[in-house]
Amino acid sequence: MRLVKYTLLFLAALLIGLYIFMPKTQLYYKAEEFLAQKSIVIGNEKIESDLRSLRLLHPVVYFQGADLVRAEAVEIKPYLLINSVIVTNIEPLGIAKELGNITIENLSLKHSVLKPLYVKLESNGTFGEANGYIDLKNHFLHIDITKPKNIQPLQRVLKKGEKGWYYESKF
Amino acid sequence: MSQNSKSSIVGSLVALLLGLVIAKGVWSIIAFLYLPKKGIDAKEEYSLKPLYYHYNLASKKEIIKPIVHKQAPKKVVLPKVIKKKIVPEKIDSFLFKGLYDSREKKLIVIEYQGKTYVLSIGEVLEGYKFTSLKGNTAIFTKNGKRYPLDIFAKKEKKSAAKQGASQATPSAPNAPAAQNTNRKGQNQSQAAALTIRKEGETTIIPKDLFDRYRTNIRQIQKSINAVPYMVNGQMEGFRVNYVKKGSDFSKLGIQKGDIIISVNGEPLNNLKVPIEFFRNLNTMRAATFTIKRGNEIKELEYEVR
Repeated sequence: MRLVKYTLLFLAALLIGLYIFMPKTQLYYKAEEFLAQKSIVIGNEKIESDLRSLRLLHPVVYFQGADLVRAEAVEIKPYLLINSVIVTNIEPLGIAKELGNITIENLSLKHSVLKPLYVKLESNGTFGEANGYIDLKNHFLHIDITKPKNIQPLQRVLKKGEKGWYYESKF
Repeated sequence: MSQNSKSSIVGSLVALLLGLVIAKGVWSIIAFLYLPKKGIDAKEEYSLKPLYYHYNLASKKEIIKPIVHKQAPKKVVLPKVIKKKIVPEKIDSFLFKGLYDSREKKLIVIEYQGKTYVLSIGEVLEGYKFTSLKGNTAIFTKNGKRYPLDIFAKKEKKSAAKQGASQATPSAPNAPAAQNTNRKGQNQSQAAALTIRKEGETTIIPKDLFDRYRTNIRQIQKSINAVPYMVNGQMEGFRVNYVKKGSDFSKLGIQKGDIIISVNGEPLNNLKVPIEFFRNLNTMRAATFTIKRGNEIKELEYEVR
């Protein structure tokens, strides 16, 4: 019985330790390396890290060298079992602005170990409200515009279904 | 406190500490072995320079070949000196007609005494050494003095003088027929001013029409659609999916299925080039698109006037 107690304590401490001592900034650098292989670079960001989360302030996302979007803040919460990324105030830059000046107030991505190949997303912005998912296994993205507001700039890439407007893409 | 409970507390603390120490150790090893110490920053931007004057780089051999003046000695020693008897008193004698500015090379097109010369950095024309190119200004040096020369400087002076002369010309008497003729003429000239036309191999885009589209990218999207053309995950250009029939874009010589592989000599292997191209539209006077149509490579040349 005592051994079970010690083992549980050990596992709890290990989990807490893994969370507390996680080198969040260095893991973020590693993620940047993976993104760079896809020609995506996150630049201009100020990195703040604490025990709970990693915050990127004013990052600019470059794709193939071109600046595409800027966000006010990105908060990454790696809770190991449930992880989340919350991005606030995303605004398009450069040509992306010309093509459709859409701003996203909040974008939330949630990942759970129970569904390791599935990322749930929720968002709201000038286009209304949307939710969807990323299927990591099949490299598939699906977004439903649940409460459309001003979707005219997006209509070119959206499809109309029974439930309303949606976006789908393979990556 | 009994010996039993004491050992239980100690055991619990040891288990907790062990868990924490192992967690720290695991992360330290992973960080040391696999995780980078520095992040990746966005690379310094470069900008695609538009061609300010139409010049077909592929077909004009004198651009690629070193410039040798007719009267220059046969053995050319760098820096190349092009000698001529008459030396211009002022740099204004040169008309800076165009430039080609890329990461690899910088070329300028100079007209002097009715002849066109193409100079690269370090070359000399009539004693003036072309030393650098800053935006639309070519910098020459002679006898230690610096001579900046703006693009189209002389031409603009000429056209301004012409305009002044035409304004000074007395108008015809106030006859209605003459007025009607004038109005018709004005309408025709307005229509002509918005019509895309061909001059030899070059497609001339009227400036008013160009500006109209430049300030309304949505209008462009309605008339033409092109998407990145990927080969083995690498972008090799833009494939034209749609060109609206009868639109101004249908007169540009671009067809559905064409793959635009470069703009002004810059390969379209990333999104930065087209984005820079759109950003620089307001200063663009000419452009060369290289397209792949089937197995054929074509150059489409445009000039904004």
